[in-house]
Amino acid sequence: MGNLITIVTPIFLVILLGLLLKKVLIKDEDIWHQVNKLTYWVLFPALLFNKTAVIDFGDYSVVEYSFSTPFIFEIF
Amino acid sequence: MMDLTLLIAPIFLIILLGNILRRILIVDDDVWDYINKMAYWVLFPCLLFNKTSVIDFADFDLGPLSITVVAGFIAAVLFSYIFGKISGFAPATLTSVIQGGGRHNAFLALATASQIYGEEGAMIAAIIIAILVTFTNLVVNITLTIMLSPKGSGISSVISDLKRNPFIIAILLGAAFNVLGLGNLPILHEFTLSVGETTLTIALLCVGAGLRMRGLSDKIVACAIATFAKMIIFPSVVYMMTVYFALPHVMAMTAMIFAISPTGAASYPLAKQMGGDAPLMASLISLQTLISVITLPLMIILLGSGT
Repeated sequence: MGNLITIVTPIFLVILLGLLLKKVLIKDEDIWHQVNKLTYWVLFPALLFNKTAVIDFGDYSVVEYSFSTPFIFEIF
Repeated sequence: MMDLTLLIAPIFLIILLGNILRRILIVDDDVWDYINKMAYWVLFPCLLFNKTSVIDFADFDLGPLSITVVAGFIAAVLFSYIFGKISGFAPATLTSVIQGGGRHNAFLALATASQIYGEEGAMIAAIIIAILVTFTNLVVNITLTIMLSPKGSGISSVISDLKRNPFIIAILLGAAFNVLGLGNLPILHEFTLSVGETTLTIALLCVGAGLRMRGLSDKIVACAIATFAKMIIFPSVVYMMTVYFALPHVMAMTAMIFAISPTGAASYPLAKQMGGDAPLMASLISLQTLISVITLPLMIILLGSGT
């Protein structure tokens, strides 16, 4: 339980950092838009490709995974 | 041996990707400036803090390592200065040659070191950054101040610049946490790691986006002197010192990676701000980064397999 908190809290701290950066370092909304574009079109696809290219699909029940996927997308 | 080159190939692919992205996805240079700023002020300091807060300094012999990298730096700067003087460069050009000969790209060097030597490489790289960034900033800022503003009034601003350097602040903070035994504070450690880990990708994309082949400076002699100092003099002196001190392999190789890494992107805003030859500086950054695609793997192949 304590372990989960140490893992999850940093994620929210990163989000908080983003908010802070928007107030002090990168105030222009458009810049964030562009960075988002970078994540959407390049960084995240690279991660997805990288993971799916080496995954052993036999290890997982794809059906069960499909149920949890919509939850993942809620985050984004 | 081949493995080592395979390991660093992705680094250059990321740089290439950055260059492509500037052409097709993020064409506005302003955006790259901001992303770079974020890497410089936030991401990289987080990484440096994270590494230095848990480093076991007793594991590393800091004296010989410091002397090694500083000696290489001084040799490269002196070479640039002397040959620049002989060639009769104006002060503005001369300062850019000195920056081109002596500075290093810390992002590229740390990425390479940690890619090849994992955590140990990253730790040693953080130590070298602490030494070399401080020393480089002092020397370069003082030199530029003396050569470009005759009154030499800027020395106090050099010190305050250094106190505001985010790398140095992060390293000092990390070292303080380390000494106080707070290096592994649960949430803070994971937080700085997850922010810090993004640095290398982001910074390397920015390096690529900053490459400009159009309008390379026509100052061939200046480019040749700076690049020779950076790619030949700096690494040669560092190599001799690592042999002299018989530094452990990973430490010696990490020092070599810093020695041969192309001049850093921070030299450009400084040249611009203090009245150096900014177009020449931009050319030197692009030129040396391109050359390092060959020299860096070559050096690693030649020396990396030793024990």
